[in-house]
Amino acid sequence: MNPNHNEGLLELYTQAISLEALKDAEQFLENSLLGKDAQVERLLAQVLIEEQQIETNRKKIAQLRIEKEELEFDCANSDLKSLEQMQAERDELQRKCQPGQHTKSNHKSSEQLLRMKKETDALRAYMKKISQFED
Amino acid sequence: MSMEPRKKRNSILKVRQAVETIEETVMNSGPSSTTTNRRVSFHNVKHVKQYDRDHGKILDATPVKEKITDTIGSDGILTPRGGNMDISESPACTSSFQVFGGGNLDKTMDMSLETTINENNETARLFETTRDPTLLYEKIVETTTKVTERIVSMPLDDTLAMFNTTNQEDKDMSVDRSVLFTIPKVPKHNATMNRTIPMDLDESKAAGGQCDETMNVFNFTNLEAAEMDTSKLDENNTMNAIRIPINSNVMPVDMDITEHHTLIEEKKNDTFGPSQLMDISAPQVQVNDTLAIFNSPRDICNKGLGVPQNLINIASNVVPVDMDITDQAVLNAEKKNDQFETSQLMDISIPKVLVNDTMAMFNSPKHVSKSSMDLEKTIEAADKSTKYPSIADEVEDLDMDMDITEQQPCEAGNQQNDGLQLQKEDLMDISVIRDSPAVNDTMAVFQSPARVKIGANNSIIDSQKSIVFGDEMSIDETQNDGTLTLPKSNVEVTTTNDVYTSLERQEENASENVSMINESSVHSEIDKKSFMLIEEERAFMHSSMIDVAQKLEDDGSSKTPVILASQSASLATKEPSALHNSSATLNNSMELDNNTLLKTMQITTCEDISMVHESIAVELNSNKEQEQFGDETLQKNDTSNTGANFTFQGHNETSQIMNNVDSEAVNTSKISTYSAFNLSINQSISKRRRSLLNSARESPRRVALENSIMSMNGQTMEALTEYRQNKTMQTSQDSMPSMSLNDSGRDILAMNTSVRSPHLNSSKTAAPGTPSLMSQNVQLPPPSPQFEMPDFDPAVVNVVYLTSEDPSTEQHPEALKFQRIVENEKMKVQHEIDSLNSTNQLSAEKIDMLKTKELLKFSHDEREAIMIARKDAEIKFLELRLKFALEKKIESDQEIAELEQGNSKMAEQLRGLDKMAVVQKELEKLRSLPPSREESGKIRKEWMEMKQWEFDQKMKALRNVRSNMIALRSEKNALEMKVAEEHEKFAQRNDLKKSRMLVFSKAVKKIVNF
Repeated sequence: MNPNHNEGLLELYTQAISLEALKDAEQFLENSLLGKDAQVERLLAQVLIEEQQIETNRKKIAQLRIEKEELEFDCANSDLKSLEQMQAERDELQRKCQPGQHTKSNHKSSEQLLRMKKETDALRAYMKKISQFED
Repeated sequence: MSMEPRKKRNSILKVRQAVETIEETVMNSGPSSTTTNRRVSFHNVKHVKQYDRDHGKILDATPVKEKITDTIGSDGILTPRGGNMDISESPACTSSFQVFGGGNLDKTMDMSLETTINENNETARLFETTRDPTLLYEKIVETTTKVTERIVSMPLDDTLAMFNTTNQEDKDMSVDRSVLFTIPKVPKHNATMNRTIPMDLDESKAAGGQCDETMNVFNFTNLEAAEMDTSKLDENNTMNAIRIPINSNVMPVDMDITEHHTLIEEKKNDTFGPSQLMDISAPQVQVNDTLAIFNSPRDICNKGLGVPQNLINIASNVVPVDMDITDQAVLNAEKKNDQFETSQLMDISIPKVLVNDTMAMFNSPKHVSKSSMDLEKTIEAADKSTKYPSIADEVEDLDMDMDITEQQPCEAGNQQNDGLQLQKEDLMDISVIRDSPAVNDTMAVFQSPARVKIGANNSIIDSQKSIVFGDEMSIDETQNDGTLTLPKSNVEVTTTNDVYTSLERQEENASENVSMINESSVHSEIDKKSFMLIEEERAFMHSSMIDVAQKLEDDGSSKTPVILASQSASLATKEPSALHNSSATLNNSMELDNNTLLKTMQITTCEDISMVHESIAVELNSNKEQEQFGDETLQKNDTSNTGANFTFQGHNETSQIMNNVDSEAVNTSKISTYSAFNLSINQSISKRRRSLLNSARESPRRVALENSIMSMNGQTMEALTEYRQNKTMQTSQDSMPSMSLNDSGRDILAMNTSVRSPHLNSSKTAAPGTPSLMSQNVQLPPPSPQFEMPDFDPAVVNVVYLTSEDPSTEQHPEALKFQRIVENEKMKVQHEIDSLNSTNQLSAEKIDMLKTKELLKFSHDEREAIMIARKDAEIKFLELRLKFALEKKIESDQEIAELEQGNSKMAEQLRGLDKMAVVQKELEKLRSLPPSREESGKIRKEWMEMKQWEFDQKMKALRNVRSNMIALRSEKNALEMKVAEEHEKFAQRNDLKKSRMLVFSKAVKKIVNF
């Protein structure tokens, strides 16, 4: 940044305030309190503190951006789809297997049902193969 | 003549009684078997009382029966000189053999046996000395018990004593038999020696009895000497163990040799010069003892182990042969007389005894023996007296060397006593030998119970006295002797106890001496320390006295003394007097004198000197004071006290104060003393006031200045350092654009210098300096013709964080934004200025001067107002920067929050991948659960459908298979038919071939036959 612009602004401020002051110099002096230098120093310190915080935030933002890039890369390489499917299936099964709908059946029948289900799945797969073969 | 009939009566009565009792016992005993039985019983057994060594008493219990053989063993061990005395006895036997025609071989055999006995005794002696001292005490105790037992047994029965003596005679004879049986040439002597009863008055046995008696006499004397030797050995061993335990074994050998020599000399001189023998032998013993004490251990070893001493012993053994020969001749003559008339002999023998007794009474050896006994008593008393004060001296003296030297004469005294006792014993032996046989028999009867008392010398001597003088002296004298024996026996007991206790006392005293030495050493150390402390205290007191004296002198001479820090208490007492003296010397009317009372005492003395005396007096006083300081320094160095050194330094400064006359110098020195030594005693009121004023004036100001400087620097540094640290951290990251903060101060100045105009001065850059410049301008004329306003603060103008490190790079977006804001603000301010110019009453000239920064035509108030306006301008600009910074901060915070939120979501997604396993497990668990009713129905339906489909598919497959099978069968049948046909054709073709072959074969046969 060019400091000349800032200095120009300061000069303008000075002219404006001086014109206002020269209207009644004595009154202006009476109204103006001592300790201007201290006030300047105090404000300068406060400004520098704020600016310092801005610098720290800027650094932090840069770090966070780098971290974001890294996370995006990791997400792209990961198997999120399968996880989503598993979560969906889990949710569905949880919905189906609610405590109200759950049946209290014998262990034997449950085994039979599982066997039947397995056979059904196997036959269905076989059917697919045959259909593909015919095609 | 009156004495003779009394002696005769007494002697006659005793002799008759003795003879009658002996005859009665012999006659009444009856057959020999009964007498032998009695002897056997007394021969084997003795009564021994138990002795408590710890309490030093005999226990009141039944005495224990022991065999008499044990006593011989104990006596043999305790009597090493028995062998030496046997040497004198053996010549008698050897002389008899020579009379009967013995040769040199007999002598050599006898000597060899004797020498072996001597060696055994010496080895036993050595063995005893090598033992521990505790064992020696045990031996001493045992001997004392035995002695007391025998003394107690005497008054019971004389007959028992007689039989005891006979038993001892038998034992002694048993020893002699072993020696004599080796010589077969003299069978008569053997027969005579085998008999045990010496009291038989048969003519044929008289000679043998005499020989036995002589042997018995020598045996007893040997025992006595041996006992004395043991006591010597014990004493010598106890003393020499402290000094040289190795060489202590050698001492008794030398003593034995010297004693033996003394015996030989006495025998040579016989009865003519016994007193001379006493006189001669005593100094020899003393000389030998003294020489032995002061000889070196090597000399003692050489003497003890030298070969010539053995030769001397052999030579000494030869001398008694002549004496024995003469005695035997006398005995033989008497025997001849006895052979002729037994009855006459009995009558004759009695007056012979009397005659011999009377002759012995008036003979010189008996007188000598009496005198010798008296001497022994005196010597013993002297020994006792010497022992007790020696013990006392040991207690008093602390040095061990003195104790050792004092104990030596005791040994010498004991040795002298031993020598004298030996001489006495020799005299007794001589007297016994020379008496007639009848007299010897009577002496043996009365002496034998005395010989039973083997132990202390006093007991033996006293008993001998009673026996000897009892036969010759009157009844009154015998009673006196009887009474004397009792206290002597008591003395014996006490002496033994005293010996034991004395030894214990010596040990106790030695231990006490050691403890006292240790205590004395400790006390000596303590005393030395205390002495040093006392000396220090004395030195301190002396120094204090000197100080007091000096004070008194100073008070007398109206001077203020130099006061030490340690004597602050005395200062309080002395100050009023000193003040009084000083006030007396001064004039009360003068104000200066009144003021001087408030000053220090040294100052008053200076003023007095300056007012009253001349400069010479001042110099003299200063010299005196220097001398005082010198003395004090010496004392303080001696005492080596830190406080004194501290005060010394103070006095040095005070001496400087005294030397300085000017008041200003004094004041400065006061300040220096105050700053250096806050605890100085001579503080005055004026010093305190000035110090307080100085502290009140200066310290708050300094503190305030320091505090203000520190606070300003701290605030600025904190902000700047933090800002710079952040920048340096940012520069470490390459991916992010950052700004440099390494030299932010320089950067600001550099940027400011680039912004400034070249015509401005660098000294006018400081903002706090403006009031001072204004004040100078008011008071003084300006240095330049044109008065210009100072530049703005570079820190305010430059926005460092928006400036990039590399100018070539693009500007930061925020910087561009800030520039736009500045431009907009400029436009606003310009409009404001234009409006003010239109409304303002100022002249155009002043307005132009404001623009050109020339303040020459402005008044003082106007210039001040303009300066304040510049500060207000800076404040406004900073407010603008602050506003912009706050906005950017908010924006950056929001952006950070958004980025963090997005990153957290992605992180959660990635974290979800880790949960995949968990989800999978949940799925498996849910799948494993039994299905619901609807689901089960659905499953069954689907299963049925699929099974139907499967069945259909199977049926279809079967149909296909069937059709295929049918087709195959038809093809099979066709093929079978075809095969059959082919087989038939093949068979036909084969038949043809066969027929043709037959034909051919027939043709071939025909041809062959043809």
